[in-house]
Amino acid sequence: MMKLNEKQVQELFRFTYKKGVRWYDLQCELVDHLALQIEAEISKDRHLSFEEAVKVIYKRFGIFGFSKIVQEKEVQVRKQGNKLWWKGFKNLFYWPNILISGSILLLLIMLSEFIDAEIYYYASTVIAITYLVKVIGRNMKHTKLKLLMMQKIEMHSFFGWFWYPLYFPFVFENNNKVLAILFLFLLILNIIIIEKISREVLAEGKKLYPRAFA
Amino acid sequence: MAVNPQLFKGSLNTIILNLLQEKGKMYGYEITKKVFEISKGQFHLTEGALYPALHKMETEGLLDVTIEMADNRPRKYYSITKKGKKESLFKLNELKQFITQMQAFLQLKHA
Repeated sequence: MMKLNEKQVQELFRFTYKKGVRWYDLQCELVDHLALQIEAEISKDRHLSFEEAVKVIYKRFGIFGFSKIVQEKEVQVRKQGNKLWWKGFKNLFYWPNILISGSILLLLIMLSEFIDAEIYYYASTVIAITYLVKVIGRNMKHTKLKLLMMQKIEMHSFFGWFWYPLYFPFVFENNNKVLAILFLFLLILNIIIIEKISREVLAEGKKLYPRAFA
Repeated sequence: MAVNPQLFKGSLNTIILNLLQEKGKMYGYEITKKVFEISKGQFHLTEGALYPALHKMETEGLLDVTIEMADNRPRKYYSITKKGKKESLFKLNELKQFITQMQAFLQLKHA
């Protein structure tokens, strides 16, 4: 059986990138598949060159090439991210985590005796922006090669920040402490969840694709 | 005459789950080859159908993923989870029922 050399495998990585597969994790899977098919093809027909074999095999993927696989995988990763987030959210209300979330809520309620709703608003704003900056910085230096699986975290890092100016008028007009506390509480929970997911996904990424972090 | 691949489509997940249950861990290309072999060349499983199916079942927690280096490149292996085994059994029974039903439809003149 003919085997592709290192250079040809690298060529296949470039090929998948050129054909719209920007994610290293998905590239790995497709490159291996292409490589095995090419090896089988060339073993059958010794006169077939590597370049010709690539063309023949790629044609079999149909007119849309890899795009259907990429799109569907992106949808699945988003779903996985959602699932992880909800799992993390629910976990915060089970023993013993309920102790932490309960204490946070209790603390916020107790503090409301002394401070106005707008202070909560300012606190939320500062926490949200600081955390967002931190997350963006962290995501930028995560990997050398882009991993689709990391998107499980990235979408949730932004989830929750955009809608919160909406509640701004309610807080300022009515000194609505319930809303203000609830918002800050959910914000803190969201950060706890994202931090936990990030650690899990990062550990999984490093285990599965160490090259992406080299 | 080759079998219309559309007929396999609804049972693709059942076929994959059953294969993984029998063979343990497998990678994508291996699955297409095995399907081709078992069907004696009747069912050519395309990449465009296989990978979305695998990825979907991975999200649903039916499949587990590991990576191993093979021939100087990472190879992604799929294996069936506990949840996947349950689903596989359920799907097999479903399919068996369907086949019985189909047979009844096809033998109408004896009915």
